[in-house]
Amino acid sequence: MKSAIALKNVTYFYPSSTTPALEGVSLEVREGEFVVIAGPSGGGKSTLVRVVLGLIPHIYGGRLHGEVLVGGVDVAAEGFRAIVNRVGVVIQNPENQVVNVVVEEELAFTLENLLYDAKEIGKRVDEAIKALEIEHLRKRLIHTLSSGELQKVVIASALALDSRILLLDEPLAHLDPHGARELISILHKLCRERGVTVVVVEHRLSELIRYADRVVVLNRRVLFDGSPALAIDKLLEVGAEVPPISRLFIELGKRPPPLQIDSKAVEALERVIVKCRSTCTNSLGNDNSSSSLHSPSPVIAVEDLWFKYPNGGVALSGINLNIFQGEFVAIVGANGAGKTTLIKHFNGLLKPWRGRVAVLGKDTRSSTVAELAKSVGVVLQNPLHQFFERTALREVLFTLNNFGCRNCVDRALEVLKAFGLEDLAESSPYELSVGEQRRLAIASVLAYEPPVIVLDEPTAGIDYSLKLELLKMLTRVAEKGKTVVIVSHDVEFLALAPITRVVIMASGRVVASGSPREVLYSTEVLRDSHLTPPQVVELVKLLNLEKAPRPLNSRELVEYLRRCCNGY
Amino acid sequence: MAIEKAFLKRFASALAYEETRCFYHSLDPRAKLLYLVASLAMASVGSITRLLAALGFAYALASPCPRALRKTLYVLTGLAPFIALTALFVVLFSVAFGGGSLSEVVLEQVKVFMRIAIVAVAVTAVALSTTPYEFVYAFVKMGFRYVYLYTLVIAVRFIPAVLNELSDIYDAQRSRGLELEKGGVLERFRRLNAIIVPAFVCSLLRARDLAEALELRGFGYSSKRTFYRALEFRRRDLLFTTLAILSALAVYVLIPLGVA
Repeated sequence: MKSAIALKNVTYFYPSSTTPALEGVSLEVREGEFVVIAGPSGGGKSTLVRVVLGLIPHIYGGRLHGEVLVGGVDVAAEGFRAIVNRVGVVIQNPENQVVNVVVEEELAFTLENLLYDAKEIGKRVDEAIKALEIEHLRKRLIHTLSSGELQKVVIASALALDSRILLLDEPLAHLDPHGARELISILHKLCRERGVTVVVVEHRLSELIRYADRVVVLNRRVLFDGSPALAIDKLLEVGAEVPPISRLFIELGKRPPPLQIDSKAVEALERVIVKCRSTCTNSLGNDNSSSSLHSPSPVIAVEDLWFKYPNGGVALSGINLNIFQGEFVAIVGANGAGKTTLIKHFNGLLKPWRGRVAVLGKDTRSSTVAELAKSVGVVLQNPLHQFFERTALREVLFTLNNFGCRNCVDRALEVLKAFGLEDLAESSPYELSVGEQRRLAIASVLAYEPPVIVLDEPTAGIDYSLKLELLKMLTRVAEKGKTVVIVSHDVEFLALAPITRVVIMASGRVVASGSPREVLYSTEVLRDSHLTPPQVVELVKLLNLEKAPRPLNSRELVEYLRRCCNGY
Repeated sequence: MAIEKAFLKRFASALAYEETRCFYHSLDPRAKLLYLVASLAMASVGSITRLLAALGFAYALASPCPRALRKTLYVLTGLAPFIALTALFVVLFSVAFGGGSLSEVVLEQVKVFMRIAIVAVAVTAVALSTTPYEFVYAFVKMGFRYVYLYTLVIAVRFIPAVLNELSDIYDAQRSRGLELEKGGVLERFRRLNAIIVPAFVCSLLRARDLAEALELRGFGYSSKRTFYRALEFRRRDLLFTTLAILSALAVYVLIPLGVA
């Protein structure tokens, strides 16, 4: 097979930086390969994408050493114009790369710029639409598309140009499990059936890795380049996400670890559970279900809540939900299920169209956001939407001042220390890493100690080690007796968290609510809600181990096997 | 605040393209531009009789697209409080300080409203049926350079995204206790930083992504570009344009002056 992309000993320094973003990177991707590039945040993955596209050094400047060949073209020397019809790119936020207002116009855009004639453009646009099965989107307005639909449009636009290489930078970051699976299967199909070379830079590897021909682990240097099965150890070493089934096998000391739940993996585990005692059903260490422990009056009471968007679309239909003090509640659902709309009612950002929301007994309709925010601290998804001060310390002080705390420098410093940010107190929020920004966003809300904290999709776009960091932080907050509400579709993360209740939402309704071991084992409800159950749950079901105390993650399953299965 | 929001919402609605197809969607954008010019010409007549005729012609020309009529009504009802307030203000000041007769001043304000109604229906009909891309194509055909015209496409494309982002930023800051409504003017301006700075940073990031995307998609490589759809000035366009021009001419030539 011919080489599609070849990097030879590439080292790159951003302008005025003395530390290389990439160091001695040599990498070859052959035509028709499906390659996944993983590694920690700040490890140079996005820089690598820019190098391959020729944006580095031609737009970003800096010093680039080594050779970069894309489809045989020396892109470092000749620039991005030389490869414009060879590479299609999907950036992390595809909304920012779409130029036109209507889908069909967008698909034709590059071809028009490159002076293809109208007949040829029409033919290619039709073919791309057919390949991606998006005929229904042809006349749609771009701003009405979901993230998944937008990604399909961007990919179709590259296909229309007949790009033989597709480069995707964290395409799964904002997709729900259903959308992620759909996108991965499209990429796999394009690779296998059309011979398109697919390179995906991604943190979320659980679903993706099984489709890869090769995995490259990058942390400024190439730490690993080889088959996915062999990559697991290296991925664990750098704190990257691996499929829970792989983690389970590693924890059980069984090698090579599988990448997905298949018959071989199930058979291997069946041999282990043969030795299990059927009477061993005592609960696992962390059974957090605490429905009987909470106080009689809820901190947040939602009664028959209905909400309509200004365009008349119904976003919430008859929601009834009580959240009690000290609970750790996960609100789970696919994109568009109404999760964010619901939590925006908790601090009065949105007011009910019908029904009632009460916070500590106070009706949200008769209270301002500032009044409600004293009781409910909401951290929205994008930390960049809240930073505006010169330093991290001032960010925390801003919130404290708003809630009447003057001269609270000591308090702010204390909060920064609790979040491991004390050394960065005088740094600009924009200079912080993604994980530090996320921590600062939460710290600046927790600083004034609201009894309830609500987090909207806190794991979106962050790597596995940052997720674990976040998990520790939330656990500490919950242990202090605060009520924590987390909105997410990241069920694998939720399976690790000390959650007391899971609420599943779909199409603006609550479709299930109960303890994690009850709800996350309702696999049909999850699938109907466009969610996927945690892998360990799927495995336990396949092994007919449901009488066991329903483990949610690999650690719990290993604990069960150790306790109940002699000499596994 | 609620009235301002309603006004902005309805004003934005008037300028929004809609997927639902009507007669105007099938017209050549050049025909629609000529219709717009004809409507502006009709709106600039001076007499009330001619304005009444112009109003009739403008709405008759828009009638093949019932959606445009409904939307115009929606926009005009949104604008009504502002038009009424302005008219009241003008009438009071003119009578008090200008020395004009009340009936004359009121008549002038009625004419202003009629002119707005004529322009509103034409703008709404054209905007709801024409994408910015089609405008670009029409102007390129007239000899303008596409590179500059695409600014319009990008502006229209990103206005909803930027407005959504502003709303998200406002929500994020209100969740941290920001109250823009409280305090003196200076204090309020200072607090606006909490909205402006994140909006500016996010827009810069968006602009960077967009600029890179344009470079990677061949935008501006050549001074010319092709268009995937052929722009044809067909019989129906000719017929419609003729009707629009004849309407304008009729207003100026055939309709008697009546009340000036």
